[in-house]
Amino acid sequence: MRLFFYLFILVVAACYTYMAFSDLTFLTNRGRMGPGFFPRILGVTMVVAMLMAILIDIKNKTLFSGAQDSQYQDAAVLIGLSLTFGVMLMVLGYVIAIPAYIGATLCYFNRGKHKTNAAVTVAVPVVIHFLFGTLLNASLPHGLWW
Amino acid sequence: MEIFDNLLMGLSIAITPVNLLYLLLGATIGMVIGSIPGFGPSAGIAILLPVTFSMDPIGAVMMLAAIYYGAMYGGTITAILLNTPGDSTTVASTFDGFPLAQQGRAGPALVMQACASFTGGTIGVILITLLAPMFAMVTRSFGPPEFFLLCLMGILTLVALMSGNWILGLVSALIGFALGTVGVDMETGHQRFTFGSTELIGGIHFIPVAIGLFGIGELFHAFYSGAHKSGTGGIVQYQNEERFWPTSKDLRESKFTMPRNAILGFCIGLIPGAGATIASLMAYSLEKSLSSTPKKFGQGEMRGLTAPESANNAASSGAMVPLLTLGIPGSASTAVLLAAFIMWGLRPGPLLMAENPQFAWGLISSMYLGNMALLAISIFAIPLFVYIIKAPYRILAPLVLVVCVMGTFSVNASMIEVFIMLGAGVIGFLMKRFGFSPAAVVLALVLGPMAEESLRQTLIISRGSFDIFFLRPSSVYIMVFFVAVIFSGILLNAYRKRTNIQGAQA
Repeated sequence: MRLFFYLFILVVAACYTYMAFSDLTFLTNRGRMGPGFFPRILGVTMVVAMLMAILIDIKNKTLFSGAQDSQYQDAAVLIGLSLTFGVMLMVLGYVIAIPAYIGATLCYFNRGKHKTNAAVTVAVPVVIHFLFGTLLNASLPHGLWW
Repeated sequence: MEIFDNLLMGLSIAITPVNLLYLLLGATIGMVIGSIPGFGPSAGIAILLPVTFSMDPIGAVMMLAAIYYGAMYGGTITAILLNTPGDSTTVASTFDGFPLAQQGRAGPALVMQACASFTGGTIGVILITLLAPMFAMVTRSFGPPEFFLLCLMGILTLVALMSGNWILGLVSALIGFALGTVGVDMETGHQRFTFGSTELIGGIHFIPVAIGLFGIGELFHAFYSGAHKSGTGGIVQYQNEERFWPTSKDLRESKFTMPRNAILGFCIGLIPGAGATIASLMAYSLEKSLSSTPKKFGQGEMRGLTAPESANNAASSGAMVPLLTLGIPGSASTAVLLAAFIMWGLRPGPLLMAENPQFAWGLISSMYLGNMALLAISIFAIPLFVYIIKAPYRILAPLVLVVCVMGTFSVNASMIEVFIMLGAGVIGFLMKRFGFSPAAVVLALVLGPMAEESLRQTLIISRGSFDIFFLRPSSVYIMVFFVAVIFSGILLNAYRKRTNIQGAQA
């Protein structure tokens, strides 16, 4: 997992550097700092630093060591549910998305506690609506169908 | 005398029923958030920032500042009762706090940590009152070269003082700087890394990234480490207390420890990038080296708890000085506070105290009141916090995530920002997992655009020559100070490694 994350950052850094060199100029026509001045320096430093980090980890033999996949399972489930919540919020709005998300999360992680799960699933959207919608008069995502 | 007049004016602004209510609310919420393992002041302020939108600016900033130092108080509760620091700033408090709780002295330990936090916080605010106006006077002569150097110093100090892999710290800072370059270039009007998206023309907003990295990232990491599986009820060391109040011996032993380390903590907090974690670890080392019985440290020595506590609270006050007088945040928490100030139309900097004295002195005065309120809350509400710590993480987590998502959406009514926040949460989790520094990302995201702008102005003034940094006395002083800080950081890391090796061998 560490290797994949390092490679992900390295690839993003390389793309950033490529764009900084291809799309943005280092100096303006007047000889002042151009839009690419900072990004080019940042990009090159980032790629070099990331390569150094990978080499050091290879030397210390820590690049491939790490947690078992099973350790990531619960975090991965929560991440998946959270991203689905984001999509549901955009499409269906908070009235449906919040209870669906809370209910699904509690069903998975707090199994067997049906009364607590039901109470929390109902109470949270009400509190959120009261806090953000009524008390703070803030915008709430109503979804595409509203 | 002018200072006292200003302080009285500040008190008259702070002491209104509504502002006092915000202050108490902020202090309590801060303590509650601080007492949840993994959630520090940065996460607390970031998550609750959108909630303050409908408030009066002074009341809102007072509340956010109260959350900041309230979380500093609250973080120690889990350090003592669970041996789990609420934030990195309270790591040193676990060394003797948890052994004290295991000995059945959790009550005296919690009361003494509250007293130490109060002493540290109050001495810190007194020093802000005395030094901030002087700092503001000095920094009025600062120009773009000095601001550029201070921005650079803030981020590089953070990287140099990192206890882990400094290269990963550097990469984290560079990621933050890179995120800061997204949007329209202010000088040329050229779009950078926007991929044609109109939402990105204004740049990547700081709030969703901060909420994602600190709030959501911590949440995912807690699930990864299994914090949600077992309730903490069986682990919490708060039962069968022999006595609640500390003994006169405890108070006598710590009477010089607290003020001494408060002053040390404040001085470290002043340095951009150094922060409360370094302050608390240095205070612990100092106290241990001054003690005639250093072997007692680590086995339940009260001074081993009060020293880091007074230092980290004083450091959080110290970090407010560069924020208020220079507009440069010295830590991730103050970076989030800066975002709040800017959101309210307040631009911290050398002229803040002259142009907006009501705000500056109102905030400073509120910190005196906040510390007093927190002393009372943290002593008398201990059973409540024990109850909160015992609440299962698996129920708290989805609630926190919903509040984060709704809070982020309410800022600009933008779903893109919600997805940026969730993405930052995943990245924040992986960064924390593999030893990167989310704090460096956030600090660099704030300081990056400031650094780029001030470097640009500097090079315009100097007509493209970098000699200007060596020709201005203030710049030279900053560079010399900067080199000294980096050098002491390297020595500190070497000392840490040596003590770790010795500890392992023992």
